[in-house]
Amino acid sequence: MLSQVDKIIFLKGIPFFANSTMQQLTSLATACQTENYSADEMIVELGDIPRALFMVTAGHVQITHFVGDRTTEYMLDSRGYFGEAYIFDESVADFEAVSINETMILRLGYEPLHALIKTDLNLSYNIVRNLSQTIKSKNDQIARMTRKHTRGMHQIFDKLDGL
Amino acid sequence: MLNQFARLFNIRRDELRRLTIISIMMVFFIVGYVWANITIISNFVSNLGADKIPLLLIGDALIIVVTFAGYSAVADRWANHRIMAGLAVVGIVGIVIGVFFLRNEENLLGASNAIGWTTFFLYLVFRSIGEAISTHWGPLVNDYFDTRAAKRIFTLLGGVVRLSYIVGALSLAIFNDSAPELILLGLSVWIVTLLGIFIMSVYMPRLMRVDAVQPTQAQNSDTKKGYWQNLYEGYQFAFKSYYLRAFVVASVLMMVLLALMQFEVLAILDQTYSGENAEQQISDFLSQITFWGSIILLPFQLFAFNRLVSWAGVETVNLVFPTTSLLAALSLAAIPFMNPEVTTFVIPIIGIAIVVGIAMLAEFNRTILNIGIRAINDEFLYNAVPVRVKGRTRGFISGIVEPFGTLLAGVIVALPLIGTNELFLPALLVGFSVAYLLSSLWVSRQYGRALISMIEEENFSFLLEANNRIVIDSETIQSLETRFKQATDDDTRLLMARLLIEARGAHYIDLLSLYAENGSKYLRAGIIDTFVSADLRASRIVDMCVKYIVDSDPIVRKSAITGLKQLVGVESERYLLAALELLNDNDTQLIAEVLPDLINTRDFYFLQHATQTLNELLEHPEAQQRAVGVRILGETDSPRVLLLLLRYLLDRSQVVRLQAVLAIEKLSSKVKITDELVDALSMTISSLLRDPLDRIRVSAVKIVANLHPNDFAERIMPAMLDSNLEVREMAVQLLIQNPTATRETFIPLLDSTHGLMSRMTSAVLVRINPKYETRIYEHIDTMLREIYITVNRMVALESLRQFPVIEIVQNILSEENDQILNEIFYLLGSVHGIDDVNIAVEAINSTIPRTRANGIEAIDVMLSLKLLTAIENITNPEMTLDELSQYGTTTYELGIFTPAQVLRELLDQHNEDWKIYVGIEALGELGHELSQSQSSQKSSPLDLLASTAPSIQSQNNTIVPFTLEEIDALLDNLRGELPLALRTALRKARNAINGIQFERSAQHQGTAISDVERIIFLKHVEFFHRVTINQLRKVAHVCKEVWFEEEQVIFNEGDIGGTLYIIIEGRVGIEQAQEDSKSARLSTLNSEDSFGEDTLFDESRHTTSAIALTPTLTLRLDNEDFTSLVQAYPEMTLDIIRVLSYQVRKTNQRITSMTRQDSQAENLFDKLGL
Repeated sequence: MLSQVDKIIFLKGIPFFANSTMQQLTSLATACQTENYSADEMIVELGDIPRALFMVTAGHVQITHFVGDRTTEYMLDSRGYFGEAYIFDESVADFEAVSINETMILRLGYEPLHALIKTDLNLSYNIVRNLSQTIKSKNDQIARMTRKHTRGMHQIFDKLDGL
Repeated sequence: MLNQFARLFNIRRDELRRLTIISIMMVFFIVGYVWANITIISNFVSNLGADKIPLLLIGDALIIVVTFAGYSAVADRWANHRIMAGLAVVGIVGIVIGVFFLRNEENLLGASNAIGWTTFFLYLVFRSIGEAISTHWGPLVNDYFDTRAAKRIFTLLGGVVRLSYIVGALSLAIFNDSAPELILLGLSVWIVTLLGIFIMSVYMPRLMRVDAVQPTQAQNSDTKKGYWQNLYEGYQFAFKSYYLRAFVVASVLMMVLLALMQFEVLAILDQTYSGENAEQQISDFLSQITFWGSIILLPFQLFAFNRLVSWAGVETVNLVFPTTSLLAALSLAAIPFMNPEVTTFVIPIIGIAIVVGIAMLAEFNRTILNIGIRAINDEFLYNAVPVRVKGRTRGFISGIVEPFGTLLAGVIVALPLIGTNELFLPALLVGFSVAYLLSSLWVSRQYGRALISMIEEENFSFLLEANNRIVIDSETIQSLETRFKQATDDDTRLLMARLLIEARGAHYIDLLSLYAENGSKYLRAGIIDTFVSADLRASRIVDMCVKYIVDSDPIVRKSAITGLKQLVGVESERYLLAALELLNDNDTQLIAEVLPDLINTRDFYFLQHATQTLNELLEHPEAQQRAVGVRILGETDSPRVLLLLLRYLLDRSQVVRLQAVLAIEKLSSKVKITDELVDALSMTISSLLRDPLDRIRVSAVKIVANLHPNDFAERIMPAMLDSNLEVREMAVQLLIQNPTATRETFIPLLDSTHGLMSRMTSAVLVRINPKYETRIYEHIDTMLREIYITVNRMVALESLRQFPVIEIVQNILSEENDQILNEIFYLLGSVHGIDDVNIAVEAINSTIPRTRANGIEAIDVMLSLKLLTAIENITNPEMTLDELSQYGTTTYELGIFTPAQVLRELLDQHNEDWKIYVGIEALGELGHELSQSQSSQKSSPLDLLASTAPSIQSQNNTIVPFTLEEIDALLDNLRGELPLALRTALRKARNAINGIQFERSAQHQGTAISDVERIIFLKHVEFFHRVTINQLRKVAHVCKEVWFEEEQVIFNEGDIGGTLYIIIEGRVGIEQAQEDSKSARLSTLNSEDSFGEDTLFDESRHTTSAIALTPTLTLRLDNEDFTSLVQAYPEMTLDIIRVLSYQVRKTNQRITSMTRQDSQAENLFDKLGL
């Protein structure tokens, strides 16, 4: 069980809220719900509309992304979080999240976050920065996985694409 | 068939299944309830007599308290269907125990004591289970239907209840005389029905096929609270809310009144029926009332109640039952005054005496109307209680408040005075019924405000309250201290410091000071701020502030001087000396912090230094520095400064001008201004009422009022017609503070032919005198009519929507409607409070159906049915344009428009050139299509517009309902004195019609695309999808066109970012360099794509390169422009967040698809043995 102070400290450690004020953190801690999962329990199912940020406070969560029949998997431990790209709209989850062992999740729904964003531009700037950072690191990952070409080869491929 | 049924009963097709399941459960419950109620009561009265009724009432009260003790422990915690199943099980167990005692009563108690006590026990079981299940219907139904739907569903369920009563009463009447042991039969029926409820509750999630609202919503699920805490919370919610306080009072009064009525009726029955058949006779009496009462009420409930609630509103229907109760009480109270001959007069048809007839009417009111009208309307009233606390609040009212009322009544009827004074009871009946009616009136008046409060609760606004305190126990403090000491970064350490100070205050000053001394500049500043914000006034902290005023870092110096000022006060010499020292600081913000305080000392020593520094700032070549100087002038308290500030109203920088106006506003409100000064200022300030900056106009209104406190009404009249609502509202706020002058000036303007003036006049006057309310509703009606006319204009253009400029025209029309709607809500706010209406409007605009329903419900209290429906429809995102048009055309008897009429109207907008511009572009676009179709030559599409226009398959004229001649005629009408931009647009439109193409190239002089074309583009870019056309005009104005040649690098990896690019034409490759001069292509972007957003806000370095793959035209938006846009329209940040979220998802998908591809390749290699 997490006290409000524990929640505040935990939230402060999440990059989304790293620059949040004490007042904001207190409000967010009030709005967060604690959820307990036993091993192998589904936290977010493929096709759900998560509309929440899930923060792992204890235990481990396996995230599996699906694109057609292709999948990527990674594991989150304490202080990991997921759902950040699904909280602000009603997008359907193209991933599933399953608890590996006894897991405690802090769940923050869209409404309280929206209520705070409305009144504080700095919080939204921080979220924007955080998402930008995520995109950059994902781009790096894509670059590592992509076939490399010389400038000349790129030009040839572009010409072919243009045909 | 099902559709017809759904239409007949005003329900939606998708609600049928859920409604049927709830109805079946309801039938089970009511039939069992009727059997149990009548057989147990008849048995009780016939066996124990009327003198035991006080015992019945007291027992009733106590069992209800016990029942709700159990209920509150699980309400809002367990799923509602589980609670229902649990209640059914408890009921079944109770009945089984009762039947056992009934069978063995003589053996257990002895023959002399046996008669009746088991019936008393069964009565308690019946009341307990009956009341708990009745209370629980509300939360259960709310799980599956939102506020608006529940309003319809509850009235229908009322009909189901009535039918069930008829079935129950009729079946009982049939078996009444033939059953040897009536009570056993009653209990058997009850057990069977409870079993039915249990089974259906268990399978409810599967049967409903819809997810119920989770009980944990908006609350911490990790806090398990006990019964008393739940009850206490219910009490807290009830007494915090003005509405629920009224509800509590009304509930107590109602329960006392109903119990008194029950006592009187049962006493009459006890006197009337005696002998062996008394039980059957009483049972017959009660079942007759139930049967006939239900027959009478059924059609009303099925067909009229729903409409009555919609028409009159929940708050009015709330007064129906108190009124009928008053009539019933008056009838009962009249009995002692009746002539004995009258009371024995027998009505031949019904065959009962007058007294029994009155008893029958009172019982009809107490049971049938109570459940059929009062209880259902109470469900609506509970809709104004937030979901997260509804169960506990109901638990408190039903479990404590209502039993208290019954207990009070039990004590009253046990008083000896009842038997000795025959006027005592009638007086009580009349007194309590009048008090009940008055308290219900109080509830009704509070209902609207309660709905608004509920929306505030449910949209989490309560999170923004500053009083969210943290509770920290001693164990946690220890852990915080350890974490503080072990923290490796400043952020964590500061967080711990704040929590420690919050928990123990001054106790940690020394420890934290020590760390500050040895820590970074952020830690030093942060710890000072923490001490100061905690309002710790220890001398150690003052010393610390003084010490850090000479810190090497300005952040620390600022925290120190701000802290010192707060701790020792602005007049303290210690502070002033420190402030003087900072005048030579190289940080302007620091100087600005202390300068006003030094000037305001009037001490020559401080003043001479301060004035010199201020003059330097005011004469500074940089606008920002001058603005700081001007701001400081506003913080002085000398009226002479006003003249100096006038100079800065003419400054070339908008920032300085704005600061000058704000400074004048501040000064004019706090200093006394001489007539000469007023004369000197008046003309310049009046001219500011027309300034292009909204904020300056708002200030100008305030300044005019400050300069002319007695006669400003007429002077600020132009502000009443301002295009900005904020300026108008400021004028209204000032006017209502001077009601006499305002009335004199504005009453003649009520019937002004200028629509806006007439509306604003009504908005002002209604705040002074509510009698002008009718005017407001008339205006709202007219404006709604205007909205539906515009809907018809939009419908006229619908078939041409594939043309991009026509789409923009539709957007313009739609935004005009939004503006009118905003004005409607503003007018409504002038009657019902701006804040309340804003909260309701925000709920209406929510994407969550339940919240939207609450918003509509809140507005329902404020408007008539016609106006409400018009607003409900226009704000309903599910209504199509055609449906809206159909509704508007029927309701307001409107005509239809042709596309030509709509475009002609657009060209006639003399005050707004840019709309004429859009109109010309639209005609050019349509004319081009027509001329292309006519010549049947497929040439390149009209420059940029064609790139967004879908190809039109048909080459005939029917797709464009114009002829070229008509378009020519419309354009010809525009000849005359036109501004340059319009003349250019006209020429371009004619060229487009004549098929002359506009070539764009890097060598093109000036801008390649017009503002309208930019708007069209930006509207299609994800970033600006939700930005209004009006806002896009500003974006279009600030963004710059940039051409890139083929293979030109737009930016390189490592370059500083902070720029957003939107591709108008061409292709861009996003690449990341790798070793060996090779690079990886991350994406290839085309027209309408954007890039650079990942560095836009933080101006960090690019981690990728962007290269133009073909000649590419882009729109560039710099960080500075974008930030000022976001500041002006904060809602844009959400769009940006959504776009970035989408990109994160896209990159995730890309990575996933690439991962598997590699492993497939690996598999292939494996197979090949490579």
